[in-house]
Amino acid sequence: MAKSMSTPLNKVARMLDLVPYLHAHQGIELSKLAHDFGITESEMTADLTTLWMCGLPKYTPLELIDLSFDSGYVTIRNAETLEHPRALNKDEAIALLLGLDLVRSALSNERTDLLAKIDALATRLRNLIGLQGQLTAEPAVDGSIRSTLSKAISSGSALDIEYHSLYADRITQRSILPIEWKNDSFHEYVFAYCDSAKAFRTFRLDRITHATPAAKKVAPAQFAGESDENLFTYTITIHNHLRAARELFELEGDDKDLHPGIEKTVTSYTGEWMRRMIFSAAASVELVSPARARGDIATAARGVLDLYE
Amino acid sequence: MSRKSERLVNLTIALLATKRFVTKSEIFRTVDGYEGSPETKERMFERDKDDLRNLGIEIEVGSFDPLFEDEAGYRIRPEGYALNLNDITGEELALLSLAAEAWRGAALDDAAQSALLRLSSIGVVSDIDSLPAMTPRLSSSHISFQTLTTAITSRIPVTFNYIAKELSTEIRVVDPYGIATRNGHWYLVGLDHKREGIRIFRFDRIDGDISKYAKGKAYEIPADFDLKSQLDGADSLSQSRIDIRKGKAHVLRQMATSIEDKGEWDQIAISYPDTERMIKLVLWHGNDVKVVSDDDLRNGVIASLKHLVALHG
Repeated sequence: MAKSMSTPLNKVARMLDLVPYLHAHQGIELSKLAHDFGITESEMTADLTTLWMCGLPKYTPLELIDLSFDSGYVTIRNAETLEHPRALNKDEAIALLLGLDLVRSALSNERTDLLAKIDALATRLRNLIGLQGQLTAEPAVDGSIRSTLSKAISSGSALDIEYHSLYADRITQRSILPIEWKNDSFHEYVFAYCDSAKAFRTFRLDRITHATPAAKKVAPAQFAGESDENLFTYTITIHNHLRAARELFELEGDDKDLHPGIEKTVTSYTGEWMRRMIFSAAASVELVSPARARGDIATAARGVLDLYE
Repeated sequence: MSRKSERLVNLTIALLATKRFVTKSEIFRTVDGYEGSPETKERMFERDKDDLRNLGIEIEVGSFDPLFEDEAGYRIRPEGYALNLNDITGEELALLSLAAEAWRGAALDDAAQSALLRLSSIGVVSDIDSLPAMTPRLSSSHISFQTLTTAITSRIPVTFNYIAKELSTEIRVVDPYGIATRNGHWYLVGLDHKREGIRIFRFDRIDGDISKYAKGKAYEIPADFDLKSQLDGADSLSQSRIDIRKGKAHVLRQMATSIEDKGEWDQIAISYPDTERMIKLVLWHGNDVKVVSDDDLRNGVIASLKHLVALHG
């Protein structure tokens, strides 16, 4: 529901939605009703009081909307004119269309029955709002893995996962006890106790390629701390392709004023990761120090060039 | 304040309940809340009509009697007012609920939740148990998301600052054709006015707000426009063959259209729209990957490696 509840227009919209909702949910608890509409109970009481004064012209008791909500349960009568839910506006239809896309891709291809239903629903929604342009959404993450993880978190049970570790470019098998979801503006993560590492680790959701209930029990070791790897510090110089470097090294935020030749300090848990970062910047970023890491870059690059000799 | 909301609800009921057009003077006489001088009432009514229109409620204006054209009449057609999804089943309702649920905490959450309220007012019970367990989720907290979706449905050109390759910002004016997600990023595809061609913009490279550039229905979206093929770069795909070490380069392996076993190495065939990005992806994998063909990619990788040696040697 709209978060700004104060304008009369929002109140009107809400009251018009309230009537059909009550119609479909006769005898609903006031507290649940307020919750469903995302407002407080006293705001809801104020809405219902106003609604009580509304009705067909003439405004005799016979023509007024008849509400009863004295004992904490709300029922409605005499509101036939408004009993059908209002048409969806464009934003609402678009939200559903994009959401349907996602549901579609989370389904297995064998459910042709559901896929056909989704396509028919999408066509109906498009026609409702006369949509000409195109909108599509696809998940960054396999939906079935997410629901497996959600279930494991809520039931406190362990999982065997296949994880693609990007910096080592290795797929590893691990047993984890997922604890909670985390996310930054780009990716979703699951924070978990990793039995294989005997420590708490953060896993990027889109790198988990497979997840099944664990074959054996997993319990955090007593003194398991947060990841104990050391953080290394590097100095880099960005020569050009500033936007790419900014996104690669995650220098977003206060670094809008990057300029060619600027020096930056960046950190990494492993030298391997840093080497891959520098390599994929395609020589637009130079690793300045430490000197050994710098030398390693040159050696590694020569090593790859040898493949082409 | 509640007087005004009350009047608007009463006006909606009155105009919805009538089968014929109702004149203004009838409305003033019978609908509760119109008070004051004739001019005041007149002004109130004009504002009320606008307000209802802003809520998406269309008021039809017509002649009360074709023989007397002196006074206009008003009504709201129930067909336009009410949600019309025909006979929706519990299973279909469940699919739509999941679709709305995908927006929890993201850009269109409010719209999705109010859609959900309407859907659960239809009086059909959502049959969620008939669906496989899944929790799809969308993520976009970009503030201007809604400006873009509105722009697409109403065909409104938009303008924004776009962060270019060297971090300079350029003002772009675009006719939005579509939006889509790819690999966790949102993209806008549309006709760039200055460049006179279709361009793709990544949301997180848009700096600041997106604003409307002109009024609605300012352009037509070509009938043959295909969002998917635009994003896949299907018009201009390059083909390459690449050797990758066994058990390595999983990202490239996933992109492969064919894999051939060559002992210590596998040779894969891949197609991709952007050579520059492919060079970076190959470089990322260090000595686990060797480009066999085509020359653009191979030479690009070799040049970058030589440059890397020169820079760090």
